Amino acid sequence: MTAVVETQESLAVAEMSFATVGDYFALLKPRVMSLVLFTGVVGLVLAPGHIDIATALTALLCIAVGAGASGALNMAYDADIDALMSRTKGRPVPQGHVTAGEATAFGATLSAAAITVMGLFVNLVAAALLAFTIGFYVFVYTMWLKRKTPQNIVIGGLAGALPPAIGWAAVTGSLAVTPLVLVAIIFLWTPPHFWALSLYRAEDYARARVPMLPVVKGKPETRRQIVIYTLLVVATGFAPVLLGFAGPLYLAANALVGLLFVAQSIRVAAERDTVREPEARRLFGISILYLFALFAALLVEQAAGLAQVPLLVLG
Amino acid sequence: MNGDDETRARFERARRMRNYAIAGLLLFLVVLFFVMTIVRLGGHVAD
Repeated sequence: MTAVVETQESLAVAEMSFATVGDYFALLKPRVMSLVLFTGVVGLVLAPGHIDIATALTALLCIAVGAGASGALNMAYDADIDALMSRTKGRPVPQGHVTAGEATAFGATLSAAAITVMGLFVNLVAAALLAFTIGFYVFVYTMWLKRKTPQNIVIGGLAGALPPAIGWAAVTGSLAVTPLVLVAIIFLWTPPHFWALSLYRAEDYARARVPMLPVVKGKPETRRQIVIYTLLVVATGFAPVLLGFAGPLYLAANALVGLLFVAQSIRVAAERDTVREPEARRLFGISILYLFALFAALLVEQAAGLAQVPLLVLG
Repeated sequence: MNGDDETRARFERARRMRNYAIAGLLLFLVVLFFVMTIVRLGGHVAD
C-alpha cells in the first residue's frame, strides 16, 4: 500500500510543470522577434494610405506574436538537436523546463490567435501572409529543409524576410514592388548572416548533424559563398534608391555600412580555419548592424519626408 | 521544510505566476477585442 502511494506521489511530481513565465517568454525567441517586428514596422510605415493607430498596433502585435509562435514551434520540434548544441542547450525544452508538447500547444495557440486577430481586425491579405510565413518557417524550414540540405537557410530565409510585406499589406490590403524589394534584401542578407554564425559554431552543427554549409561543403566554400551573397545583398540594397523610395540617408547607409559588410566578408574569406573564427564573429555583428542601418534609414527618411514611396501596386 | 515541501512550493509558485500571466493575457485580449470592435465600427455605431 505504501509503495502504491509513493508511486502515485512520484507520478504526481513527474506531472508537475515547473515552467516559469520566463521559460515561455524564452520560447518566443525575443531577440529574433524584435528584428522581425522592426522590419515589419518599416513595411507598415512605408505603405501609402491611412491606418489608424489601434489597427497599426494590432497588426504589429500580430506580427510579433506570429514570429514568437514560430520560434516556440521551432524549439518544440528541434529539441533533440538543440540539446546537442552548446548555443541552444540552455533553451527551455532541452532543459526540461517545458515539454515539447507544451511548447507545441503554446506555439500553435499563439499562431492561431495571431492569424485570427490579424484577419478579424486588420485584413485578410495580411492574415494570409502571416499564416504563410509561420507555415513556411515551421513546415518548410524547420521540419524539412533544416535537416536535409545546406541550402536550408537560403530557402528558409524567406520566412524571416516577409514581415515588411505583412506590414505593408496591413495598411494597403495588397502587395507592391516596394515591400518585395525589402523582402529581397532580407532574403539575400540571411545567408551571410547565418553562415557567419555557422562558421564559428561548425562543431556544434556537426555534432547535431545539421547539414549547414561548413559541415557539408567545408569552411572554404562557406567563406566564398559569404562573399558572393554579401556582394549580392549590398548591390540589391541600392534598389530602393533606384526605384525612388529611399533618399540620401539610406544611400549613405547602404554605401558606408555596406562597404564595411563587404570588407568584413573578404576578411572572413581570407581567414584560416580555426575554432574561434574571430572574423566570422565580427561579420555576424556587422550583418545585424547593416540590416538595422538600412531599415532605420528608411524609417528616418519616411518620418522626415525625404523620400517618396511609389505606388507600384501588384494585383 | 523538507525536499518535498520545497518542490511543492516551487511548483505552486511557478503555477501561480503562469496563472497570473494567462489572466493578464485574457484581460488584454478582452480589451483588444473591445477597442478594435469600437474602432472598426467607427462612425457607424448608431446605424
